[in-house]
Amino acid sequence: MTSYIIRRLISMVLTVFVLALMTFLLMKSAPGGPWDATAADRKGLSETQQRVLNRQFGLDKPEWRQFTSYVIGDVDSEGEFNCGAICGNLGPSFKRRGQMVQDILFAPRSPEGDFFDSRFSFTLRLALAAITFGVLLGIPAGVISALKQNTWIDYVTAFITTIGISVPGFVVAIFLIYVFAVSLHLIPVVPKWDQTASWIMPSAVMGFGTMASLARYTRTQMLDVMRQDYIRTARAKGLQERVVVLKHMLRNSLIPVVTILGPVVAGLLTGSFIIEQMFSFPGIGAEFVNSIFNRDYSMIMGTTLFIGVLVVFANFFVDLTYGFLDPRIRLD
Amino acid sequence: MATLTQSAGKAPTASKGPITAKSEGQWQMIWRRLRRNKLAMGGLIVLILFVFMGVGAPLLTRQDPTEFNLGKDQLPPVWVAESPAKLKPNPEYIFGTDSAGRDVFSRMVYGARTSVFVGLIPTTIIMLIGMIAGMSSGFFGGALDNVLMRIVDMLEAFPDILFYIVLTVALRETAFGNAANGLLLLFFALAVVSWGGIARLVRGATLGLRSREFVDAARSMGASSAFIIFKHILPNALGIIVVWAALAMPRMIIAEATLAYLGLGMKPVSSMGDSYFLTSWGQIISEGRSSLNSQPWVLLTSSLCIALIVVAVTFFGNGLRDAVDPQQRGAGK
Repeated sequence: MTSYIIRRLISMVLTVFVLALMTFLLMKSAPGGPWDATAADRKGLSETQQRVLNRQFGLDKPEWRQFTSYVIGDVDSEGEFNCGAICGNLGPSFKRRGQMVQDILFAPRSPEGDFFDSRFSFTLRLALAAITFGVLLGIPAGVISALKQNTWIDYVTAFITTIGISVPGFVVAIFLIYVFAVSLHLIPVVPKWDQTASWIMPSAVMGFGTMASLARYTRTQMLDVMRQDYIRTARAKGLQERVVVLKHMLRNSLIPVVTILGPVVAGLLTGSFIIEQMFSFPGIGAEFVNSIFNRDYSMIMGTTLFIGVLVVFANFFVDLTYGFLDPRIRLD
Repeated sequence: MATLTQSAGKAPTASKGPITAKSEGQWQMIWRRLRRNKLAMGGLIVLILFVFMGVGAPLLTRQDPTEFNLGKDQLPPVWVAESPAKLKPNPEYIFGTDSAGRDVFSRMVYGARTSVFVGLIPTTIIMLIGMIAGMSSGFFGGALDNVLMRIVDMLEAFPDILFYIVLTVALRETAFGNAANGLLLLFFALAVVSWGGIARLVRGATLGLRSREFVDAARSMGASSAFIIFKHILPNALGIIVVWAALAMPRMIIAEATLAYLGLGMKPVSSMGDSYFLTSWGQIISEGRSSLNSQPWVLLTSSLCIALIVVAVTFFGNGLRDAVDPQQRGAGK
């Protein structure tokens, strides 16, 4: 077990390192740079200004050195060592006048705010809201459609879950915004994030996909468990149907369902770029998309690394839970 | 309740017909099972309609989808009496016009072309890459297997969309990125990122098949590796490959729409003669995304199309999966 964890940790570090390297190479091969005058944002810096900025942000160094100094760290002009991304120092953002990337992600957006005002907290809370929505609707839907297999309830659930799994979130979002905000005026068109009403739609859109996959997975597991001998035994010894369903079926079928929550959470935290952008949500996803268009190198690198670490840990955690929940699975 | 523990109950595609004396081939059997699945056949019909719509776009439309009709912008569709900007519909433009005065109906019809091809071409490329990688990995094993599977781990560890975005942004302004209005880059990005899943699947199937008796028998008779791969492994693995491809198509279509929505898909085409592909649904949504209040028809028609084609292909893919492997019925993805 210990050797498994050590081997996994090493391969996790390698994975994130290769991700960083790939992102860096791709990013650098993209034409244009952070100081370009783009159509959206005419900065129009002179050559001297660009040179000064390049020196300030270390872009005058050779490329390999830019990479190592970003990831590991570098000695500055005064001979002092500045630790890089491995110490959690994600570098200064080019776009936001040198504000540190980790501050953009984790620090409050206004001086008087607390952690709940940070971009990561917004993304985290949206993911939690979405997952609550998904669990509260998805698991019961899966259980019911398994119990009522091949009835109209099952077919309707199957239809809705197929839509939820296959139709992309931004398409669902367009319909929801049109129906609830534009036509019915139930929800403000311009969102205010201190009001709960504004959170309903983005969480519902993100939670819809989660709900659909949970419902489908729960149904499959339930159908599998329902055919086991111990269910027949439970019925044969005269237990009430309610007890059979809740104690015997549900408990056994939910174990594997719990394990898919790991990747689901990682997916919600990272896969929400478009939804966040659509709803002008102040989270890390929208910020990441914008940083790509701005060629904000350190912001791209920092966010990718953070997401990478998150995903790698989520996968690791899930593999460990498998071992705990099902002792037949040996990790070695 | 008792019946539930017995079997999967009455399934719409379960073969109940009499056992015929004539033996049927694997694909005949699959087609027979598939034909009984109403949702899958419905999906197939919708898909075929979209293919005809995309390929036959010039026959279906009267307006040039790229033409800016001056003074006829933001017209509502014919079923709306008056747009929010107090404009009356024009029967020439049945779905109305967008903010540049382009006909929404013809743009939507031509958008089908892009989506259909995005569903087919990258999926085919990925299938080929994945088959070659997966079979060589599974058949030859060793260092090759190790390296390939580590790459697959890497590709699968992160959200695809992250890779797509980084790749398309990086290569967008190069000559490669400009080829075929950016569609070549799009196909390339989709293919490079997405071959991992099918490679792993084919590798697993190959590993299983490699140790079967008929392979041993072929080898003992002196068959070459190539012969075994093409005669024994490939035909037996083809079922899962085709199912995978059918289920990958909607993912490709969504990826294209998402990238186009972010402004990273194909580049805008300004004249009809310039390209075979004129616009895509994602692009239409991207261009009209600020106008959900004033011109909801622009967004709603293309969103509906994306939803329809994706759901149709998914139903077809699910049906195909059940037909190829009835044991897997109802299993999650």
